[in-house]
Amino acid sequence: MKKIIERYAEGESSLDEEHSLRDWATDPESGSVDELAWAQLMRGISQAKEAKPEQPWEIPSRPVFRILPLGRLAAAASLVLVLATSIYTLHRNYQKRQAQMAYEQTLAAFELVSIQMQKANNSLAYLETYEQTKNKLFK
Amino acid sequence: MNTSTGFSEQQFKSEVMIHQALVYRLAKGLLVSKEEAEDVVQEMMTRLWTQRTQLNQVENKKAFIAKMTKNYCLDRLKSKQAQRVSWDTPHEKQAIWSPEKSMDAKESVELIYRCLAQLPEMQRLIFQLRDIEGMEFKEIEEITGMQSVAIRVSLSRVRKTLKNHVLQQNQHGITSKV
Repeated sequence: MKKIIERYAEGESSLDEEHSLRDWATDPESGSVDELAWAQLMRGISQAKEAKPEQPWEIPSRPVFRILPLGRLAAAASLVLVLATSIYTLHRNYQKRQAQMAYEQTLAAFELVSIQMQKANNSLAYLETYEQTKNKLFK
Repeated sequence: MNTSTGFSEQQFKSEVMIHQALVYRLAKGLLVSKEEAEDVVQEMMTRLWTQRTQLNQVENKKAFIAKMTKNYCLDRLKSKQAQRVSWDTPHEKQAIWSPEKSMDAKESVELIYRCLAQLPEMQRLIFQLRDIEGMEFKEIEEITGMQSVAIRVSLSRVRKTLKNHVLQQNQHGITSKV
């Protein structure tokens, strides 16, 4: 054992020799102060080999991706299409109704103007008749 | 099963996750603190998991992981993110070195880490790779980038320092099993 310890101290020992040193160190019957110090060191090394993390790392859980079946995808696409078409049609009808209302209001306004114009014309005709009659009388 | 995109979960478990303890021990030796070593395990494993597509190209996974851990810990030390725990706090000293108690293996390991903390980082690393992780010199060369002769010289120096430290502690009137 002395020779192995010397080789160990010089960094010349093999892994097998180092293993046998650790075995010897678990129960060294006797030896010099130096040898016993080596044995103590070996016991520390054996203990250090056992160290491990208290909280081992775990593989993170994967995010779940659900693959929708083709039928469900088609149904979802149809629903989206129907909704989009309905919204478009409703919007277009609303615009048409607004334009119709504006047209009708404009027509009503023109009619009102026309009636008032007619009244004005009638008044003018009356005035003209009055003028002519007056001229005949006073000539 | 190898996939074109890299590792399967099973492969990752059997070839990478089994080295968590190695990462922990290396980090503990280099950063001294247990809490930081726990953090390093989480960080390294997360990095390896996100880079698992490249792991198929790595021949020696153990050496690769050890090298990655070494680089990360040394960077952490350099950037002073690591708040190194002082092993000389009166509380710990009393707990470890109570004269009434005999020195068991657990105390011996604390003594090793306490002494290692005072050594240069590269010496600490070499001692850990060889004596604690039981790696061959070829693997240590790959991880440290040092020549085998230089590794042996460093290793010899650390071993003798540690033994002298143990001897010194024993000679200061602390009873021991041996």
